[in-house]
Amino acid sequence: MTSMLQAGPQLSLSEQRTLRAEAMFDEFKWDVRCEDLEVIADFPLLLEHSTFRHLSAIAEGLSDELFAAEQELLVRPELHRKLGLPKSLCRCLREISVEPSAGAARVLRFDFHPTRDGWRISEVNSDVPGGFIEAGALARRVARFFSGVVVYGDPACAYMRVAEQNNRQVALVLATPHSDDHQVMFHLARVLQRLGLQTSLVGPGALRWKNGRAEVSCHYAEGMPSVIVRFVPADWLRVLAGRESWKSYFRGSRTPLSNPGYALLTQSKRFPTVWDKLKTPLHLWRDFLPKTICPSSAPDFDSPEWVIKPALGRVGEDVAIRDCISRDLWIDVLRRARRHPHEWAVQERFVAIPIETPLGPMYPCLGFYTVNGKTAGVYGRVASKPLVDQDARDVAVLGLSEAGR
Amino acid sequence: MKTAKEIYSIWAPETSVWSPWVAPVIFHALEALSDAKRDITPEFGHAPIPVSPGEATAVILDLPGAESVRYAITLAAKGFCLVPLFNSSPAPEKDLVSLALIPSAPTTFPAPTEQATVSMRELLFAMLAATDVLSAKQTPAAAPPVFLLDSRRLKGDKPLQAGLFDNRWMVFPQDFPSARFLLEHGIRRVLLVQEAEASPQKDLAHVLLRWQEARLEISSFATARSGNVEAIIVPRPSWFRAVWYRALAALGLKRNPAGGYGGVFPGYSSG
Repeated sequence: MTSMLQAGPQLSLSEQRTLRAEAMFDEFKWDVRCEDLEVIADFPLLLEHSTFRHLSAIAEGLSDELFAAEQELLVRPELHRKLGLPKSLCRCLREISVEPSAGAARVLRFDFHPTRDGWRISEVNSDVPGGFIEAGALARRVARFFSGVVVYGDPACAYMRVAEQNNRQVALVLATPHSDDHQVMFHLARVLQRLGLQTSLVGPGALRWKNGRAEVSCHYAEGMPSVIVRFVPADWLRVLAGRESWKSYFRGSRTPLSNPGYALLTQSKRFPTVWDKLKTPLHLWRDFLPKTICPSSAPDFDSPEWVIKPALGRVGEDVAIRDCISRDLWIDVLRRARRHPHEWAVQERFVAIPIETPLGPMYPCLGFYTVNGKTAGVYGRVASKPLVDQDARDVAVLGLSEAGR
Repeated sequence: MKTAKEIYSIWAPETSVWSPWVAPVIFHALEALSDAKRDITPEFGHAPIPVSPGEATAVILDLPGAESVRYAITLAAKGFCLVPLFNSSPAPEKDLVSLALIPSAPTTFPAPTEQATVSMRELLFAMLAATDVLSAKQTPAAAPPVFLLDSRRLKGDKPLQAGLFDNRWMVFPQDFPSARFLLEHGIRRVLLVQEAEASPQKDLAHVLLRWQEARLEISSFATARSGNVEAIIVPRPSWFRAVWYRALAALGLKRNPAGGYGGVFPGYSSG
């Protein structure tokens, strides 16, 4: 299977330096270093067209099933606590008399891994997927060093083109002191500005809703955004947005949100634990996501056969595989998962297949974006261990054109 | 006009092993200001720190903005390699995106405030002046590092109030080399330079304690006291080594309803 996905040649030192400088200063990728790790891989991944089409079709099918399940979950509040959502969020989502907030440009990213049993997904990022810079702009810059290759789309452009339809003012909402989050919104702002749109980056508390319409009102930005693009995890909004405003990210907003806060219903790693209670068929999900259950249903979840994940974890934080992380971290995660099993999920571990790269064997992960259910690009990461977390490298995913084959 | 890339290359020469850690964020602002009339002329005069490059010592300058740069230039003259880690922006996004990075982009919302929670004007002009100094200087390949921080990063230099651009920021262990890397490159000691305090700020304590646990000696020097270098034991900060530290830290920094870095404090009473 890995013949369908292979590492390309290593960039020369001069090409690496050029790429790094361009990433930082032309594309706003500021997190180029993580402790001792150079974050941008100095080689691309080459993905066969047939495999790209195959995985695209799966991602689109998974998207359709996810949206159907989400609609059902919105009217099944009795399942929300089982998803590991905080009580206050469940109370907000339970207010069925208030319409769910309008959604716009639904962007998802499915993380595919080559495994001994074929391609599998480890999760979907249905709330605030990142990686836009790397999947599009950075991949294009890597591609120019090779002949006969193509880039599989630019998710930032595809996403923003859908988001901007009939909209003139776009509020880009972020709330973090981390410049590596800020860079994503800078990048999206630039895409929108090139489309001729007005943008404003604001914190979640700068938005107020009046009669369902969002309003930006702070010292340097004001106006009525016609769409809101959010890069704040929805479960943080209770803290970061105003006492009443945060609820509008979930219910009651007539200003479309991308993504709406209720994306958390499927972002939760415990989503599979309610499948049997849903009428929505989830055939593809059952085929491609390894068995995922509550820790309380898996007495042996401390064995290396399981992956332990927090229900609302991000970027691989707290994801634990016994022989892939430090003993201290493993013990800490186990302790917390045992104490609060309903805030965690355990997933059967698949046997990931490494590929040979200029840096030695690496485990690849391909994040397929869909925007409103259509494939929009691929975000590649490679890790030296079979766990793709914050220590993984970003890698350009390129296709071989007919000429390059 | 110097571009961000050109200015960065002066601060992060290819020959230095420490260059990969130079934080790129501030260089966008330096480009935007590189042709501006410099109404602040920093003086890089006497700024003594009792350390020399031959002592296997890395230095962390955690001083108020421009002061960090002033002391850094003194250390550069001694043969240290400067590594600015200013991970923040002086102005709202459209100032940088619209005015500096994409001059042709449409101006959108009303004019931005010139005030930020952490004023960076003096720091930026000091960085530009220091760029001129460094561009005429060759840093030895084996030069030990001096990490530059702005000590005002967590609290700002003025009270949070309506209309301020909230550009506070933090450092994380991921922003620095690991203890192993430091040791492999001959560093055995770390000197923390602050104005008055001996103990590190909370976010920096996460970094220094990791290094101390790896047997790097940590000592402190206070510029206001001009006293001796004293060895310190780094106190264990909250959430030390907690994998969720980054998320909690972000929430902790956002005491205002507009969010932290990059948000504007609008002065609402909610939260």
